[in-house]
Amino acid sequence: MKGSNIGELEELILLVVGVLYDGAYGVSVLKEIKDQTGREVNISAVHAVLNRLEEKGFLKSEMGGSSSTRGGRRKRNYYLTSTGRQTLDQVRSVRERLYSQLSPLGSYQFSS
Amino acid sequence: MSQNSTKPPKWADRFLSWYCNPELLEQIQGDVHELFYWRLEEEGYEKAKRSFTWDVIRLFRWSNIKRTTSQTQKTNNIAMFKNYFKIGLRNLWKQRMPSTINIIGLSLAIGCSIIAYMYIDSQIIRDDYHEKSDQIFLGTHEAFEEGDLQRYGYLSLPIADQIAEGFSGVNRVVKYSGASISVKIGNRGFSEFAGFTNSEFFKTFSFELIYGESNALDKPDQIALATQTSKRYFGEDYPIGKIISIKIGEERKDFEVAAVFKEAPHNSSLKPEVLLNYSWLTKNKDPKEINSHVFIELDENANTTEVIKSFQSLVSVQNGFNLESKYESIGLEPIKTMAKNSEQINGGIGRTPPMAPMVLLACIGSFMLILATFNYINIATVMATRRIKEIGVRKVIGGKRSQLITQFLTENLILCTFSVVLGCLLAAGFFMPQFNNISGSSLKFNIFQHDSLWIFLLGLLLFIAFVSGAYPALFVSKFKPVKIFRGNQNVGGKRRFTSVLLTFQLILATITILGGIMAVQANRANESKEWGYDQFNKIVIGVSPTYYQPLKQEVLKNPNVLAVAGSINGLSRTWNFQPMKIGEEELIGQVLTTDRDYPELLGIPLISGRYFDKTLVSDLNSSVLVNETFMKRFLLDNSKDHQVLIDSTNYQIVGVLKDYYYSSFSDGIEPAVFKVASDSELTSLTVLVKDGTISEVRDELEEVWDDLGTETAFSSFLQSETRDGEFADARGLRNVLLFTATLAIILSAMGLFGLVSLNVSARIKDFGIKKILGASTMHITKEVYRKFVFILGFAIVLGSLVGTKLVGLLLDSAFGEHLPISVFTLMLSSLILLAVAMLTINTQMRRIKTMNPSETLRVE
Repeated sequence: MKGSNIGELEELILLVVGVLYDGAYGVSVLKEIKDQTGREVNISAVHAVLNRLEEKGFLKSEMGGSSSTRGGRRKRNYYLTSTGRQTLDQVRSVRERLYSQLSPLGSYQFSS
Repeated sequence: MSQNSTKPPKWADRFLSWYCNPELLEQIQGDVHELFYWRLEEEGYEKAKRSFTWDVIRLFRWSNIKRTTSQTQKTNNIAMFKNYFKIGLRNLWKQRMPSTINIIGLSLAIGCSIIAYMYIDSQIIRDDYHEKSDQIFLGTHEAFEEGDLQRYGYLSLPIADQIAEGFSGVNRVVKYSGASISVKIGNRGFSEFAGFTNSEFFKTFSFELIYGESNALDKPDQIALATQTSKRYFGEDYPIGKIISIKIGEERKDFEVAAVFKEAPHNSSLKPEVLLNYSWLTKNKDPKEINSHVFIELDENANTTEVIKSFQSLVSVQNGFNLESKYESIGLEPIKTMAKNSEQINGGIGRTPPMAPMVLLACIGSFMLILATFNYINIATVMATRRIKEIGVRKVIGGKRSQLITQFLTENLILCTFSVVLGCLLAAGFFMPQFNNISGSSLKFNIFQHDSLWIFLLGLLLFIAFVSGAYPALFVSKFKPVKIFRGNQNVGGKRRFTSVLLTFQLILATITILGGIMAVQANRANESKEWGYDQFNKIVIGVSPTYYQPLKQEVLKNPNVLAVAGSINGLSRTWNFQPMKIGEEELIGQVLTTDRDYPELLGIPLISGRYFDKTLVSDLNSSVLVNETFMKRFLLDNSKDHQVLIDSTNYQIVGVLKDYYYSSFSDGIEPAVFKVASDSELTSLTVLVKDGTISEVRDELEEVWDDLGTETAFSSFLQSETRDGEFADARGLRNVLLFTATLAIILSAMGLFGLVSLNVSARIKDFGIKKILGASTMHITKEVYRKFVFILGFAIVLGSLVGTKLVGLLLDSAFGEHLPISVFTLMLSSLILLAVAMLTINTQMRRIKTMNPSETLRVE
């Protein structure tokens, strides 16, 4: 298994897959990201990240149902694995631990 | 909006399906389509289309393109190739006869093309054997000659010396000039063309020293010899330290042999045999007046353009000498290209290789390759149809067509590899010595030192394997298994392609046979053709004017000598062409300067007027004899007196001689003028001897010569030998063409044999039944013949037509005027081909004739 460190976009997509729970595949992930964060990500990037996360073992996938807009083509559905969930928790706890150590707002000098 | 226009752009979609890994295609294509329809609603058609295209392009990445292959499939592939090899070898062994035909044919053809390649290679790539050949340049200059800017391959000595002294980037400078010398060792004499150079010679050029040191030429009284020359002089004795006497110009001096070097390779433009110190050329002369070839070796990383630029400062130095030769610029020519460009460089070194032999050899090589490849295609196709069940089984258990093609190509590669190896052996062991013998070249087949030969052989192997294997492989892999097993796959078929190839082969064979016959005829005609004068029983001896009279006196004492005559330049190998003028008309003609007896002694018949008269003093300075062509070109009338102006002297024409050939027949006849020189100027003596005594007299004359006490060696030739070189060339050409014809006949006969035998085997049951039912052998023979008669006839007609043209062209360039290609010749060549074809087919008919029908029918 490759290292459990994940990048920013990886983390985002991992979260979105978790949020979508049952209906996570390329386009739904892309749409969800756009709706929730306003960020426009290219479908090729989504595919690449999904593949990478699956390789790392954070996601698993299977071929799902088809719909008419897809011209009868099946989609590949992604699910969060327990390792994926663990990693998300870990990232979050690290982040919160660090965040809690921040000094109270206003004590920074923004100008020199 | 029409239905069509709301769909994603077709080309992008197709592009995606093309590149995408099939395993990933469904999900990816689904995603982009879904996105398209979503965008179509949100953002409109145009935007959606653009985004779709963009997505497709963005998805074009390696992870989506690469096809995943599992480990098991890979091992299986290797096992498969092992299988192919095994089956290929078994097949070769099982079908021995056709395989042998294929291998022999291909290897003969490959042998031929190797020779052709090596000859052409040695002609085109010259002077590349020097280790530093990239750094060596020939110094050149440009100057105006009668208004034209010309390039010259030499420099004056002071310029060469200045280049050697102080130019950055210049490593060494080698001066090199040639001059005739005469060598004397004991009482033996040799005439040589020696190279004069400085000791840098051995440091710059890669001539391997066998004995002695590379500084041999440092001392003026030391010389270096090539190995063969050294053997000629001293036999097997150790040559270093031997003293030989050399005459340079008018001076004779003793020299010590200080080094012996290995001969230059055959593709060298520099072929020195004797090397002397350069100082002997400059003795008592103004160096400014002397021009020399100058080789300049640059530093390893010198910038050539910079160096040439810096040389331009020498132009003013040269022009400051107040000589007639003014330079415009100084340049450098790489040693590797100096031979190729020798036509643009006046007085350079090396010569452009003649095109004609190269074209001829290339043609022969490719003819043979075509013949052998076609043989192969035909036989392999028929052979493969015998394995049709194997193909069917392979296909049924899931062999793909591409796998079958790979299998057949692999088998093909095995066979071609055999052929290439055998071809190399043939070339090295048989073709190369023969070819060297005929062409007088010294090619060496050394595969380990010849890098480009490797590339050539490899390319040839792949090319032949592919070209010859492609059609059979495609043909047999096309069969449908169902049809094969049901038994109605028409494997025999008409096979038009096979017939076309066979026809083409036979056409080529006809052409080469025609070429061979014509070359023999032309050669015979050429050698028996009259020269226009009597070339027999005449010995020509070269002699200096001082010894001319004593020699003549001595020679005349010999009882077998009938008469003698002298000349300065007579009918030999060197010719003097000069402008000549009558009235306003000017022509270039040949001037022969002889004594008064010469034309009559040579037996050139007189047409009108008289020969030179010994009693008339006026003949010496003011009379000439001319030939018929001279009269024709000037449109003169035999009956009148005419005067001709040569070299600002007026001469009276006193007689007209019949035309004769002065050189090869292809050179034709030029206007010629004989004028008389006084006895004190003559430099060669032509001796007419009694029939059958010529070699005896020649030996006796050599003894006479030795008694005379001249400084030079006895040099003589027979008048009838003057054109030996030309005849040897023609004979070489004839032999090459005969050889080609023989090979072509053999190859096409083998092809025919293979086809007929396979044909007969395929129909052996058919013939068996026919025999049982009482068909005569004649009847069956007819049936087999019918298949080939049309092809043969067609090939002979077309081959004769094309051959007449091609061979005519070839003979024109080789023999000048030659006999027209007669009906008889055409008949003869057709007959030869027919006879060979019939013989070939009949060997197979014997098989049918002697076979026992019950045996062929009993099988199964």
